[in-house]
Amino acid sequence: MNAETVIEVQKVGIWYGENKAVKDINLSIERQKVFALIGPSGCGKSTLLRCFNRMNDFVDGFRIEGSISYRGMNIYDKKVDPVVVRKCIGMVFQKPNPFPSSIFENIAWAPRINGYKGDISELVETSLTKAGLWKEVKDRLKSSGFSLSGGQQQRLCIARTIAMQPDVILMDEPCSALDPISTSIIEDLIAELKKQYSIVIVTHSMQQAARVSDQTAFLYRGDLIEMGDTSKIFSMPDQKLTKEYISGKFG
Amino acid sequence: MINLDFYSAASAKSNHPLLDQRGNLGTRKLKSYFFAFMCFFATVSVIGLIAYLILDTFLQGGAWINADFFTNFASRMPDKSGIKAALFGTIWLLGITALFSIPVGVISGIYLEELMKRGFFHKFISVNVSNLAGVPSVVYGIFGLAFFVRMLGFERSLLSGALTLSLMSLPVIIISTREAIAAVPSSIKMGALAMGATKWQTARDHIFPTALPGILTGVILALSRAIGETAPLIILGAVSFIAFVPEGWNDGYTALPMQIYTWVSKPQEDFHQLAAATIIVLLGVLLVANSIAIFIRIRSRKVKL
Repeated sequence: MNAETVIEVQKVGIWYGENKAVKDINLSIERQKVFALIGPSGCGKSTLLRCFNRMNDFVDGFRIEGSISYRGMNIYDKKVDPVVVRKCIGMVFQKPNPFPSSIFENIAWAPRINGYKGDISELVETSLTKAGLWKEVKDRLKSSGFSLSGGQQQRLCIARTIAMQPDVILMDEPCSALDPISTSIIEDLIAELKKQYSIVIVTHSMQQAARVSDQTAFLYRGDLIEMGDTSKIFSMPDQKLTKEYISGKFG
Repeated sequence: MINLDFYSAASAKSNHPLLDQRGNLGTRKLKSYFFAFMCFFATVSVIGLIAYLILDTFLQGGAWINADFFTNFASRMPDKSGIKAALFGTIWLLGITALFSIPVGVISGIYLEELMKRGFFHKFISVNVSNLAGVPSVVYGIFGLAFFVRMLGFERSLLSGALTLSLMSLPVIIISTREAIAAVPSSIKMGALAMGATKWQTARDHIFPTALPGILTGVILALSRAIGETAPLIILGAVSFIAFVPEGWNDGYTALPMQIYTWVSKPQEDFHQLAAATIIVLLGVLLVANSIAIFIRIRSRKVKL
């Protein structure tokens, strides 16, 4: 295993009841890079992403085979508690989902319940700064998270994730509910964040994958069709299917 | 060129599509007005009926409500009769019932909805809780008599009465708690869990506060029903004539609905008017209890948003 690999997916098959959503995929995700999962709806990209922090454990009938290793340890190992997995591998969802509380509380909650010993106010400030939101909200930390615009809410959710001091950040179509300006702000933020974190992003938008990611994997109907450097995937893909997808023939 | 005549009636009067293409719009609008009228009629008839009943009660009993009515015990003489024992009995019942049924009901609801593993046992309990909500209150009374009064030896005390009323309230509280929790957006729940929170931390800090208004609505409904109950209390042996105020959970007691029942069964007209006055007080107690709950509900909402 490469020392720079942070998540290693080996022969992973994912089942929902009788339906096999993801078929025997092998992937490796490198440290401090942005890894994009692309493909048409229902190709299994979100399903796969949700396995990286064991969010699929909450789905009835979910079953996984193969292994997903985080820094060499299978996260589905019996000794591993999913709560710790989710602390190390944070997640940002498709729709901004701030908690129904103040901006400050939104960020302070997770560190507090995880027993954070340091200065919470300081952590809130650094997290918001890293998420590029501090200047906009520093004077109204006590107002509700819902008072922010959609793009700000999504950055609040990113700040909230950063505050847990994770290692990897998973993003499930983080911009699909946002307008173009908010989207471009978040994309700039992703570029900034990868200096410190490894990021896996699922996206519907091929342009977005091309803009933000270092590596791209193309999934189709549960199969991994092609994976490689983003520049290569988008300029000269090996597979005919990949070429058709990125040129917009289907999907 | 689009064929604008497609939907229009055969006899077009003018040549403008906005005027000619009415088609069956007249009938459709008529149906719409008819539906609105039926809704209005249903609402007004129910409210009117309740208003009539309340007005009638006030006309009968209003004159009897004075300070003596609250400070006197029940008596053979209507003029000297009051509801002190019954009012205190009802407040005691309400307090003890709330003490038992709210925590047990809400915690059970959270457990059933959030934490318990889905499977045969879960389904079994859910179905039975729903069925219990439909069991007549007399049946609870008989159970209370056999279990609390006889088997556990609580005698005909406030505790027996309150525990029986608690059992009666529990299904409603559990079901409404579950519904309120199920209505919490799963995005909030998933957001919390994805941040390395345990299920308990998620339930305590996010699901429960968000569901609180809905839970309170169920609690109000259940407790209002409980303190208006007469049937189980008759079976449990609430005494109709007592000349003391209960001082603890093991005292004998009577309650407002019991008092109403006793007075209504008497032949003298004066006692019927006393019953009407007691109904007004019972409505008052319910109104105060509901207002407190609504106040808490509004406050909890303000904190959230």
